[in-house]
Amino acid sequence: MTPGAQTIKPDRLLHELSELWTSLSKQEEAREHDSGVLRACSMTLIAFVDDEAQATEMAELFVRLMKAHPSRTIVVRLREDTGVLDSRVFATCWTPFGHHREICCEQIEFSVSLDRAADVASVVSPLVAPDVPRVLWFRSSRIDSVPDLGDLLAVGDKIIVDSARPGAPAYADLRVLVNAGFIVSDLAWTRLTRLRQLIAQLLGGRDLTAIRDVAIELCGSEIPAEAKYLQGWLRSELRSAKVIIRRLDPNGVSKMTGLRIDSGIHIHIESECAEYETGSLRQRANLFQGSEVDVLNEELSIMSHDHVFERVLQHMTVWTPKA
Amino acid sequence: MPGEPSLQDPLRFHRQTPPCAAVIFGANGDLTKRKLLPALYRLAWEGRLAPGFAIVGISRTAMSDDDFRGHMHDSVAKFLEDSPFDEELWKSFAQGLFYMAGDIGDSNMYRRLADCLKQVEQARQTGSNILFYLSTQPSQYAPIAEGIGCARLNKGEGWRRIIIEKPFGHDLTTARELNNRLQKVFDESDIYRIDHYLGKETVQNILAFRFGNGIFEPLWNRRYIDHVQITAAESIGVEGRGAYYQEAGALRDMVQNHLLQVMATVTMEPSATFSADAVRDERAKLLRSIHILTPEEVEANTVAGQYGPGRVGGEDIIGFRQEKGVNPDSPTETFIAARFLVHNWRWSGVPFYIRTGKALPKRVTEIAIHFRSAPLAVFHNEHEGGPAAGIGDSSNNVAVPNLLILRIQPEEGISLKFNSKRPGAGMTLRPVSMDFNYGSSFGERSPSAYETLLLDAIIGDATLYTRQDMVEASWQVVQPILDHWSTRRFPFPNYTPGTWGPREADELLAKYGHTWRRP
Repeated sequence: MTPGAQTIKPDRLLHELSELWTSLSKQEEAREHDSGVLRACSMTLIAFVDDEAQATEMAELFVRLMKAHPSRTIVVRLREDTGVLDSRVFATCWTPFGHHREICCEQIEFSVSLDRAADVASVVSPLVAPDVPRVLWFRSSRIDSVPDLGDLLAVGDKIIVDSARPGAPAYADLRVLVNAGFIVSDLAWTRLTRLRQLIAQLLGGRDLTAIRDVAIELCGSEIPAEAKYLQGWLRSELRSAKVIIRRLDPNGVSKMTGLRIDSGIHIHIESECAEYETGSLRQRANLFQGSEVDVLNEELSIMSHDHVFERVLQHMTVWTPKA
Repeated sequence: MPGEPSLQDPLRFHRQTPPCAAVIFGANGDLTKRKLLPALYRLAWEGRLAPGFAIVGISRTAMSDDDFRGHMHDSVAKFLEDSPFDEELWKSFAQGLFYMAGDIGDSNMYRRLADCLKQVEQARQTGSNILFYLSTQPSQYAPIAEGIGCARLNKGEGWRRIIIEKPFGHDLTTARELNNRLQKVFDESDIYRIDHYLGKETVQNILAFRFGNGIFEPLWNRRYIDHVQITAAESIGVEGRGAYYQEAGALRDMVQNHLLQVMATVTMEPSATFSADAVRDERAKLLRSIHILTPEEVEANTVAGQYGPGRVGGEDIIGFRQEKGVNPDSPTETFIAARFLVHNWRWSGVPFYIRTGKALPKRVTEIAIHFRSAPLAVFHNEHEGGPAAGIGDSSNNVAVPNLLILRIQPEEGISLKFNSKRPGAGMTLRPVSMDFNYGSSFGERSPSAYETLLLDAIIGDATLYTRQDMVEASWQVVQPILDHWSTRRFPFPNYTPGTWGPREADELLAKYGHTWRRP
């Protein structure tokens, strides 16, 4: 690590990466079972975070994520102090149960003060792994302090945001990105997949045009991003229905608690499951999709335009006057 | 934006399953407890079954619905693999479990079943769709199907499908007879013959590997491939299945179904589409292209083995003939090695060596594609490795040929062996391996074969199920071997537990200048 350095040379980082692999191979050769090291990389994941604590959190998350999506990860820490631009490279390895061979993924970490954020794109660009997808994940709450993201956006094939977190772009901005041809996803939308699938299953075979009233029930003072997306999805799919958000209890943590569909379907949503009633049937369904790893796993599996999401974005309530 | 609103999201949603009731005959048996119910529960856990999905279990044992639910609760909690057991979800799932005691030979039982299914349909909204799963002795398949037919349960407003497990007949004649009896009750398109090997992720991945990539298929023929070895080894003996195994043997138990299907998957032509019948047409065509051995060819191209008593890892292993339920003079083979040829333009002259057996050194199933050597030995005398590395003989000073290994179990994946220069001065080559591990190795959970196959049957996708013509084509390959072996008396036992089978298996390959790969 080179703390406080004022420049970062991508060539030097690539050289450090190369040396890292050589040293990992030598360590492996010294072991009793010389099975080599498996270098795994199916994409470049560029994540923007706020601080050291988040970067550490990320490292743990990537270990779990690499089982399905081994990546070259580039973690960019956006710091509030000034004049900082430093970096380090390391590998995250693990040995699958019952195996001798280690599987390793490489990670590059930067610290960048917000005043140097404009330099990030020129550093990241040469560091992305060739021939595999590049994903930008904006997890930092400070990203909206960066005045111009244009060069950075050009680095990625896919952009991931999370509307449930501070610093997320407005729906109108996402719509602009989609309309400009970017592949965009929002983890708040991803967290709805299981619930949406349950709704689709329950309404399967029914005349969707006959559905008139849908109420998304929630508690808390805010409307969660997930509820807004659910409303957008139901509006786009059930065109004859009036889809409202009903606050049952203004107190407590803001969250969705249920869904009522006029044809006799009621879904009561708990944290990881749902109880639902349809006709005389009362059943329980697992909705577990809560952790960040779960939703990222799903998102990283999709590298094409999500037309359903893009359609939903057009149905979201945004405060943009018509031109 | 393409497409009309339909609540569907193919990018993210699983395939939607229609509502249905599954009727399991043999509901108190091992397969139901160990495989079927855990697989169905897991599908429910993933939200992949329709809300009112119901199971009606049938067996001789008298018990109530609640008793059945209790037994299944314990089994699922015990045998569920890689998944959490959620008591609350189980309670919801168990509401859809019903039980009927009955004798499958009793026509009254089928009438009671019809009444039961009507009630289930009303209570669970199963849409009159019924999946019959015959988890019973194979001799009961045809009588059960006929009982279903007599009670007119084979037709209704919804679909009716029947699943049976191998063996599909004991020989070609009985396989045809079984097919005829089943087809008198069910259309062929509604008969789902399970071969759980075809449901394995890696077997499916063979299709993805071959037909989803442009670079392998041009090499996939007699011009570049020298020979292919298919190994399915078990490290354990017959372990309590002696009575069944004595009637079956390795040839019927493994080769007739699993291994010939795997061979067909490796060698079939690409289908025009990935529809069930298009893929199965190609598999069937390949099976029909396998050369049928004459008695003389059986003698020269097959080896039978049976393990005797021995000692492995300090533990005494009893021989097959000493197993419970096995005749002390049993002539049943627990090992077979065979050489097959495929008579078509792509594979003419390429030997396919198949071996499978019990009490071998390790549990492993793999397909090893041995490519031809480089046409010119530029690096003559420059090789490391050799027989110990398993891919060639450096003493011959020939280039070590490339080897592609499709690993089915236990480590699912693909390895490509090729030559590389050893770092340092001089031009010394060494074989290195480039490995790809499928989901299980990366730590991701792959669905079990039964989850895949049950879901496919509910959806109506028969791609991974075998068809009548495929079953008969593989029996036609195996029948001459059975016939010839029935005229011979082998010097059994002829191999020791923990070895790779009888010496003759090595000699079989040596005759053609090949050696078995040691997986």
